[in-house]
Amino acid sequence: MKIFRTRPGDDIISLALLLCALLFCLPSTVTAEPRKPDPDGCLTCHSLPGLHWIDEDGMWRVASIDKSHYFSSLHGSVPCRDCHRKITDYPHKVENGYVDCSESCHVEEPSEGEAYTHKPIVDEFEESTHGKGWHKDFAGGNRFKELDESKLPSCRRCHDNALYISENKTTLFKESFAHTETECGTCHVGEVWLTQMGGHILRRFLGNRMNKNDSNELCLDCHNTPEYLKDIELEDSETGEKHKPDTRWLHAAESYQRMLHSRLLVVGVEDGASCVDCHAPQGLHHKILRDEDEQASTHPDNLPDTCSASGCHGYAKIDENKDFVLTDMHDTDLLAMTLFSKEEFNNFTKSVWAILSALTVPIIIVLAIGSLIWAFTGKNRGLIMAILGGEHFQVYMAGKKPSAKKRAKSTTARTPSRKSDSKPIRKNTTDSAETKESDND
Amino acid sequence: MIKSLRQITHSCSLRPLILSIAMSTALNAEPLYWDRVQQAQPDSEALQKSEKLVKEHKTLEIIKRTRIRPFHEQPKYDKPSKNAFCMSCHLPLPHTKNLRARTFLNMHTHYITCETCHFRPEDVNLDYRWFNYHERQLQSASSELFQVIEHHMLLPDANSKTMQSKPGKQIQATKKRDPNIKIAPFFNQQPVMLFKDSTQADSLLQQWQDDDLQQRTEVRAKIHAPLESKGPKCVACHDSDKQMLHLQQLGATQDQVKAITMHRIPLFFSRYKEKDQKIRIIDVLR
Repeated sequence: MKIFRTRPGDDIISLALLLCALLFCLPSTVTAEPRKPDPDGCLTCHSLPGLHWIDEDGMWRVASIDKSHYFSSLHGSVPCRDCHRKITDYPHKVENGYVDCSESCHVEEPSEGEAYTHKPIVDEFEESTHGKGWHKDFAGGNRFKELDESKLPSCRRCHDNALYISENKTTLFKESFAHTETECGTCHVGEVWLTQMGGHILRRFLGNRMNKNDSNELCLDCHNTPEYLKDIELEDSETGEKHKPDTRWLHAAESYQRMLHSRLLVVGVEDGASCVDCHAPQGLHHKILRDEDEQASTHPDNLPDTCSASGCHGYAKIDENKDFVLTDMHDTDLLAMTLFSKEEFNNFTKSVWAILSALTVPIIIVLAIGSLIWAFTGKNRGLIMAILGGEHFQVYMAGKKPSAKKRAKSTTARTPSRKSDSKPIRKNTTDSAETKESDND
Repeated sequence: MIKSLRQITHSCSLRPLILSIAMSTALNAEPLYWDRVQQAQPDSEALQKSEKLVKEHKTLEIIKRTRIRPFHEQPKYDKPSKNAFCMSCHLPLPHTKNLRARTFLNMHTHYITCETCHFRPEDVNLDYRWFNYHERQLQSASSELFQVIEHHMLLPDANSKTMQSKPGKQIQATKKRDPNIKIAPFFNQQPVMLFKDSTQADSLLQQWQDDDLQQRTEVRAKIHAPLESKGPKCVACHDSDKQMLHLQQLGATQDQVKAITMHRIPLFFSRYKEKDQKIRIIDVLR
């Protein structure tokens, strides 16, 4: 498959110019209202550095918010009370600050004019295997409570209030942003258009905020720590029965990291596959299901579609290649045994690998001990030959003369009746001496 | 002589240097706070209260990080200096109970010593100066030692009808403060407070470590006898008419003095008349 590559900057500039050219055709100018990110005055206090205290659990709490980061963040246009909806008074009642990520906020989606909300993502998340994790009642003070109650991911475990333009795209954004004033500014006049809306539109051209490695980091934060996960209980999607995770599940991240899918991404090749590429390729990328679930993208019946998606393994859909998709992407045989816990190790001992190892290791040990003994005690000895075939090798391959014993045996075998022939006996003696000299050399 | 020295120090720009020299010559004298601790004779009520608090005291393990990160980015901030004697027992953020004011009070611990607010003997006049805990010496007055203050913190002008907090222009560039430099009370050109590693502090801590309830009760009562449990009200400093601290003498510029004495938040706090009162936060902008 031939892959056409262009520099990301070229795409963005071309698209930006195209968009500006289209907008250039419009006869009138357009202005926009400035945003009011702190209409309630919350940042009057919360932007002060050093608003710290230690709560009754001993947790070092911080009420200060980095204001410049906040205004540059994903929620920089969202007034505080859109999330912390019930806070009206000071001192705040903790419950009044609880955040529900499925609520709508006062930021309007420009084309439809509808209030923006994360509800579709929350709905999808609730259907996933992680769905029983928290998605509401978030407050800084109940992080311990969440950790005590659930090991499942929640909105805030994976997402924080990241910068609107991620750091790795800042340079590209700035380069592209320079065009807004010259091209787009003909119609879209005013500072608000040039800064806020221009930024908003250009951000879309930069592509996904997170690359595959970034999204993997979110998954690996939990899945790469078997110690943290070993006590959780998995629920069978059909029977509802709960059971402890097996080795394959516990070390899924480790086995993934040993496969090409991961290793390509590690060296910066985006053709690798991230966790989400296989486990939640559809929709809003939050509907991760167990392999056993018939709806799961990783269910054996759905693997041809999943593997062939996004131009990865297009041939995976062909019947003749159906076995290809069954390649184990989380093969425990690739794992180092040092990763295993005692329980996992006990399970491992029942595998073919373990049985073969058990048979092989003693032999290796015996040979190793023999080698050691030889290294210390056997240096001054003469030539040592193999018990079986050693002399044969010396005579026919190394060109040495056969030993007297061998020669006698050979002669005896050929002429058993000539008992009085003394010549060979003398020669045998000489040969034997020559062999010894030769050996000593 | 001390009186004349004080006159000189108040009137000339060489004040920090002269004070430093005076301080070094007076170092042999005991800090005023330590004098008061030795003179203290706690009454039975104070001893009872002290015993109760000693019995109830629990060591709290401070947890700074959890598996779940804070959602919002927090400003970088240095840990408060731990050289103060009070930090031998108290948490590094000592204000925990007052729900309304604890964060603001803890914020002040970054640039004001405990003794500035809690050691206010009525029979002596204390001077307040910048003091470097790390170098154990007087710090020259400077506007850079004040917390960065922005225009939007100021009260709106009488003609202004705006209700909105604006990012505003900064009075001075953000500069990292040294958390070891704090405003501290001085008496006779000498800091009044004890240091954590002083010989006096060592002797007190030695008595404490003997683990005898009665002894601990007495030690605790004596340590706290010269102190006031509640500090002064916000307006003691955040009011142009009632300045406990001489802000200009501490190096504040006119803008900084204005920003501190006309700050929105102390004014907002002055509206509280009852302990559990709640006030609408939108009023902070009024």
